Amino acid sequence: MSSQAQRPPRGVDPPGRSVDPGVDPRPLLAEKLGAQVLETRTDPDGTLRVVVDLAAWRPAAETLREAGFERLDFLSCVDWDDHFDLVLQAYSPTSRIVVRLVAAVARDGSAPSLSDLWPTVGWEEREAYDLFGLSFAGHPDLRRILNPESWDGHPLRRDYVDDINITRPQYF
Amino acid sequence: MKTPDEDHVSPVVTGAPVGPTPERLVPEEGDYQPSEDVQDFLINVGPHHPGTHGVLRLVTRLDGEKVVGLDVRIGYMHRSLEKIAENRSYPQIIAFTDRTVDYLAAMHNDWVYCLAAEKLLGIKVPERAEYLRVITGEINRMSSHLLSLGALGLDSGATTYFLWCFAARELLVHLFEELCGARLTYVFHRLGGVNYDPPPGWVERAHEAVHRVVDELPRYRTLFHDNYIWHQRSMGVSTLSADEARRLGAQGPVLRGSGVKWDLRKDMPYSIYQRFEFDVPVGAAGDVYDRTEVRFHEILQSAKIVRQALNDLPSGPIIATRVPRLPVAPKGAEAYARLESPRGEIGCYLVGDGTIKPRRMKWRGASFHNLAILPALSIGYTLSDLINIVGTLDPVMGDVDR
Repeated sequence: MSSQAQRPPRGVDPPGRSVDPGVDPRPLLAEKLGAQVLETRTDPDGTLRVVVDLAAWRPAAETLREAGFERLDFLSCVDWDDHFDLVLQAYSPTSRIVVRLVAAVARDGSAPSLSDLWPTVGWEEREAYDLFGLSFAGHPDLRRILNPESWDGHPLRRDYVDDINITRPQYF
Repeated sequence: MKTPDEDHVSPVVTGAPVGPTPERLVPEEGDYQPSEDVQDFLINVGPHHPGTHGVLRLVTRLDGEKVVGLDVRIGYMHRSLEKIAENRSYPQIIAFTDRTVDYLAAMHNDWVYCLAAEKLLGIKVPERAEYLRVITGEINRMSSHLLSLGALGLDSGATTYFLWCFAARELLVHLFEELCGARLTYVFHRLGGVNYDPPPGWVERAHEAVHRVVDELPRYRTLFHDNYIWHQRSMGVSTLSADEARRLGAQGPVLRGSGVKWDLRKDMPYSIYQRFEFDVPVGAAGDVYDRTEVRFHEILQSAKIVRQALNDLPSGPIIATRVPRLPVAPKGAEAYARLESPRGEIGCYLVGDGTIKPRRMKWRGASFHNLAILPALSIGYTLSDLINIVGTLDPVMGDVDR
């Protein structure tokens, strides 16, 4: 019995696959958020880097999600010693535009959760909570994900001290 | 020469299940009613369980045999790649990216790290190195898919199929051993190129090995993919519509198994993939069967790319000249690269610090994102199906836990 005979051949492109150059999120963000968009820049590789005020974090993400930025790259933090940069990157499969949304957060601060916008962002936020200690308001299930619940501290902070496990001498 | 895949297998996969669909396995809306005689109970699968493909723990709530609740616990193999990377120079990190994350597709991990670092540091890659990266990447995709399919067969009781897949994979792994001395963790890539030129006769032997693997595959179809027992186990299990797959953010073969024709090699091409002819196989029903078929046909498509790249392999340098030993990225510089690994989209985000070390490296693993949607895929199916569903996600816990 051959399954080739059972199942008709396919491979037709689903609709909406052609590149649509018209979707630019910048006017949308500017219209909805106004002065809360602090900086917009296009990187050499075409990535649109948008810095927003933390208060506009969730409205900006909602705008992007509604504009078709359905493929989530990642959500994470960068520790700059005095503050965290909260980074979300997503792209639109129709226009191929990549947007990196950045907001500065205080090191002991909190950010609104986006876990209802992209389903897998819930795990990324749990990871940021686990490794940086940043809490996400409105997250339905905010607990550690990579480290055990009993772990002391948040390892990816630059000031994290672990004398037992990290004993590498500084060669350079 | 006519290639074996043209003879035996059509490049496009499957259709909606027309044959004997096992209706007992198909859940419907509101299907779940707690039984009166059987109380819900918790069963713990893993972290040490052969069906979880690594140290994955699934806390399942069952009603009889049906999964009604699922908590995915990960982190048992967390080795803190991202913290390690903050304490290493850019060239040193390559040794970690292939063994700490997805070790079954080490070529792809090194490749995506190198893509990101080269973008950050402004390094150009010579032509021959790009071809070698494509060749090794696609051979690695074939070997990774063979292992994935074999392990899935083992989960559902097809031990012979597992051993056959391993035998075919051995031919490909042997190529890597000859090329760079390693069978699993290759450290083949360097910033600006690759580290080893193929030894004399390697190109011919690669042609031969790929040909032999493709030649074997029709036999595998007969044994496993066209097997009635496998159809009963797989068709209609864990169906995922195209819209739902896009909404959930499924990755790689899971997304394509649902009929979404999205492959970064075609749709957001990196390296030199525009030069090769290949198809993107897609499924329709998005069930366990279709995801398996997508992997099977991707092996054939990868073989097609490898053959083209081996035929076109140009001569020349394999690594860029004047790559600094300890490159420095300016503080605040950012780069992100993504590519299509056997498990889906992987990515690497690098932030420069003005020193020889990165400020931050964020690894975006495809398995991490696929496992995050496992509850949506598996609730409503039986515990034995759950093992197969995990198998079709093909999670590598190194990629999840990093």
